[in-house]
Amino acid sequence: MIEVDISKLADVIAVYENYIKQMDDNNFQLISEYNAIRKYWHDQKCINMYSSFDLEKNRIIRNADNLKYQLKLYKYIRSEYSKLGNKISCNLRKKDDVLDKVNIIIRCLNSIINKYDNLGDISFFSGAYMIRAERSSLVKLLNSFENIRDGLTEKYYEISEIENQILEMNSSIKLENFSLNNYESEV
Amino acid sequence: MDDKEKILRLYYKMGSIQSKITELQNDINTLTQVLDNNFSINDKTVYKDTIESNKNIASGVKNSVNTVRYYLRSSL
Repeated sequence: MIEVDISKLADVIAVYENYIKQMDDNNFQLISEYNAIRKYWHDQKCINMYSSFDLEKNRIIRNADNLKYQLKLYKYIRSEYSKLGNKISCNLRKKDDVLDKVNIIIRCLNSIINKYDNLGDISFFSGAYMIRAERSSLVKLLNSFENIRDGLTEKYYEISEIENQILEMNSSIKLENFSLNNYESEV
Repeated sequence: MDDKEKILRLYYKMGSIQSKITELQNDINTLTQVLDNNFSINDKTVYKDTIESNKNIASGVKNSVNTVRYYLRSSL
């Protein structure tokens, strides 16, 4: 079941944006400090620390890139799903079942209209106008259910496309935890 | 074919239509149930209003068919 709440998603996006901004500031400061230390500290003891820090620096940058990508994914979900509505709940697995039910109705309506068309001459009956009105109502119903079928097909297609895109984007995100603990203990 | 026979034939044909409309109403109810549990936008089942309106139309047609059959039977 796909459940999307655009309002809640907007809150998550705001949190991510703030966090990423803070993280960028911190990373910039940390890397500047590191580069400054590197200029002035040149002895045997610092070699291990430099190599550890280079690894950590790469991980920090990778992690920041992943978070930014994740934010991009959330923004994509918000942007695409908000075209459908603010709150979407959809079971894509039931798509065929739902469309099948609509098609059963359409077949049934066609069969009834066909029965009206085969009534033959009804002009002898004073209530013939009622029969004609019934047929006319059923034709309207048929048009309505055909529109429902087309609308549902389109909505299911749109949601499937969004979900496929999300899956594709998701596969390229690999979040990594980073920690300066090892480095800190060495220092 | 005399008028009585024509009326009788129409009466039975309308009976067949009546049964199919009952079938149609059941099919619409089944669709409503499946959609209610599986697809909503903004906390509302998709096409709920249209389907409810269609249910009323189907019900109106069925009432009309019943009336037509009643008239036909009365004129026999």
